[in-house]
Amino acid sequence: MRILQSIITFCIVAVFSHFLLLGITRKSNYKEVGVWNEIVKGNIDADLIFVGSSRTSQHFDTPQIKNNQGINSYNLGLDGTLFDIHLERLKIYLRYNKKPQHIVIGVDLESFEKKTGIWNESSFIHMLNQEGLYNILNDYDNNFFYRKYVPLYGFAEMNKLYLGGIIRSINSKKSSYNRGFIPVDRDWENMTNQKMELMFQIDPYYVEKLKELIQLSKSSSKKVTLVYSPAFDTKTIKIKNTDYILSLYRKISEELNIQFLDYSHHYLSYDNSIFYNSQHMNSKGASLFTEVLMDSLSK
Amino acid sequence: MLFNSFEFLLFLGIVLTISLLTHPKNRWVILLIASAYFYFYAKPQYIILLYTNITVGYFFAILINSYMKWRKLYLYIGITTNLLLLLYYKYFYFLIENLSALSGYNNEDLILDINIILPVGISFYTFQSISYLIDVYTHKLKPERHYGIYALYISFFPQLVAGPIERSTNIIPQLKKAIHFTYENLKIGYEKILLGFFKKLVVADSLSVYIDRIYSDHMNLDPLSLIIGIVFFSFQIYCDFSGYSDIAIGLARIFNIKLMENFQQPYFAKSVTSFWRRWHISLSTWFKDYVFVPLGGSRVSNFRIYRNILIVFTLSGIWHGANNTFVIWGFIHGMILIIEKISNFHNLNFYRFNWVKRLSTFLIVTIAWVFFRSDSTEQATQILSRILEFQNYKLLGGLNFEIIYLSSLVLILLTVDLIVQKGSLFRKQNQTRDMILNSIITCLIILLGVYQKNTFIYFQF
Repeated sequence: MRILQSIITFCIVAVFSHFLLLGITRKSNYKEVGVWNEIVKGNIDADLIFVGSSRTSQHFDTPQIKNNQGINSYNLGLDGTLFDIHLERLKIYLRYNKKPQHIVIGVDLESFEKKTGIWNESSFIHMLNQEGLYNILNDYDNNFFYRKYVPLYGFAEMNKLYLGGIIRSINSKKSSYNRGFIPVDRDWENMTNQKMELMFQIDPYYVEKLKELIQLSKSSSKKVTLVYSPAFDTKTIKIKNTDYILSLYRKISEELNIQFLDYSHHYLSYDNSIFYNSQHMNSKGASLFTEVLMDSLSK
Repeated sequence: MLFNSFEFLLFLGIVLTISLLTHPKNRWVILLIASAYFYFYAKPQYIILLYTNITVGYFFAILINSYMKWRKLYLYIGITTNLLLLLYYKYFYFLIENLSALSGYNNEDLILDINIILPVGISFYTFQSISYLIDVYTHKLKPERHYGIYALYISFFPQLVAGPIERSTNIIPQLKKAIHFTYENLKIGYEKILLGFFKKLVVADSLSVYIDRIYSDHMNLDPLSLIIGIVFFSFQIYCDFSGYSDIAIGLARIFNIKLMENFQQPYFAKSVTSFWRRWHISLSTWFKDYVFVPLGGSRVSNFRIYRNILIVFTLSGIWHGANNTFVIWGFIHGMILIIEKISNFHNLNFYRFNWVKRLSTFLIVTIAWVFFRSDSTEQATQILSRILEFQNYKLLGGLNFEIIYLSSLVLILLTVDLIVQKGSLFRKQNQTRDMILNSIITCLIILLGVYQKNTFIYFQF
């Protein structure tokens, strides 16, 4: 009897703790968690939004756009994600916030290749009540089932400094990622001199998801643009089907009657001082590129 | 099978369930089978080694007791067999390396093409076995005639792989009684396990991430970071090892078996001598009873006392690992103990304060730990010499939340140790309060624990 009482007491405490932490996470403004909370809070006033992966979140300097062009913009870029999650993120954004005038979709060479697992699963813990998002996440990693339904599971897995950051940032007025933009202050890091040839797969599922994303964007805004932002050519890593993938983006853009801006051969792509690895620009690069992009978009 | 793994949880659940369905007098059989499976799970082939050790101990104890004329010979054979197995599996490469360094031969000329893997727990059960043989020889107890009970004494899974090194006089009588489950034992056992998991999963494994970074890049770090790293290691090793002991003691308590306490708040010791009465008590008392005392103990001349101390601590260092860093670590402790015996520094004016005594003891022990943790003596001396580069000291850039978090964990640990030292936090028993507290602590451990399946440091011994 006493053993049963102890087990019941533990279950009650565990469930209570789980909901307490969930509540704290939903009030926090820490990094990706804070961005999700801003989206769901519904106070974002943006005429221009950016959708994509880490190359989007790190390349499109939304605070700079506000300062220089006076345009309210918001960056929905999410690290380690593909078009299906970008689509869900946009749906959630549109559910709670005013529709923008212009949507820019950042694309990458590996955006059509299926990944296994989810990067930084902890940042989704408090969003698993969003059914569409949960279903997609669970397809990638079925531990999301336990993260949703087993008390404390998701929080126990979390990096403790991340959890500490979430708790510390409850009182912050806004997200530590200003308007969703993640500036990276790092210099070029030469990963390897070893020559490599890669070939990214094209999964038809992601082609369909991109088209859905574009269709949703078109129905929710006045203008949609596809952008391939600069990447640095290391000369040692060769992606064999670069031209094919870029031509696929061009073809989809033409099919759906939207603009495609390809910066793969832009002069910024040849300056490694504005990159920290071959795919990501640092904050200096993001600033320069954002100016170039806004100039193109205004034409 | 690690204690901090889902497989162990499942294993424990099954063992408890089957034990509950078994008559109390026969529950030792379940524990014996479970212990064999526990060891088999780690590495199947080494179960043969374990049972060789058990069989040698069993038969030689009977021979020692039966044949008065040859009892000393049987004792020596029994001990030698145990030690030879330990030497082969643990010290083979160490001996070859040192021999070749002394003789000038190339290692590769001396080593045959064999791959020796250290069996988990061999240092612990070998010493347990030796203590049993000596206790039988000195008539402290009669040899155990029941092979199963003796096998369970050596192989009891909670303490098999990392101690405490139990004495047969404590354990065998308990194993022979019927094993009853009581709520009291379950509660005490569970609370001890909770304490162990807090130390291991929350404190030790959190600190290990930081410390591994320090030791892998020590030449590029500033002295202050190195100091923080070596201080943190003092707590990592304490929490890792005492955490395991606490879990072992807690698990045994659930089965109504009382193991000895292996740690008693060692970092509150006021001298290194006192430290060794509080740290790895089962090993230090083993060396005292079976090495120091037979060598004459404290009943001989001062010179021989100091010699005995040095022998004991050097051997203790060797026991910990097949590397010269452990030998140096043990030697340092031996020298400090001798200095404490010779000198009168306890009578110095400034040394009358307890906090001075505790702090200086902690500093000495921490410096010695550098050798324990380092991969080589070269690395240890580099770290210690870099700490003395006063010109390279700089304040840590900005608030470092990782260090604040880890330091908070260390402070909580010290507070818990203080509470345990002083006795219970509450005067009155209150079942509801205890249930709620235990639930909250369990949830905190689940939340703050690091689950990267880090092994316990002492598994390598």
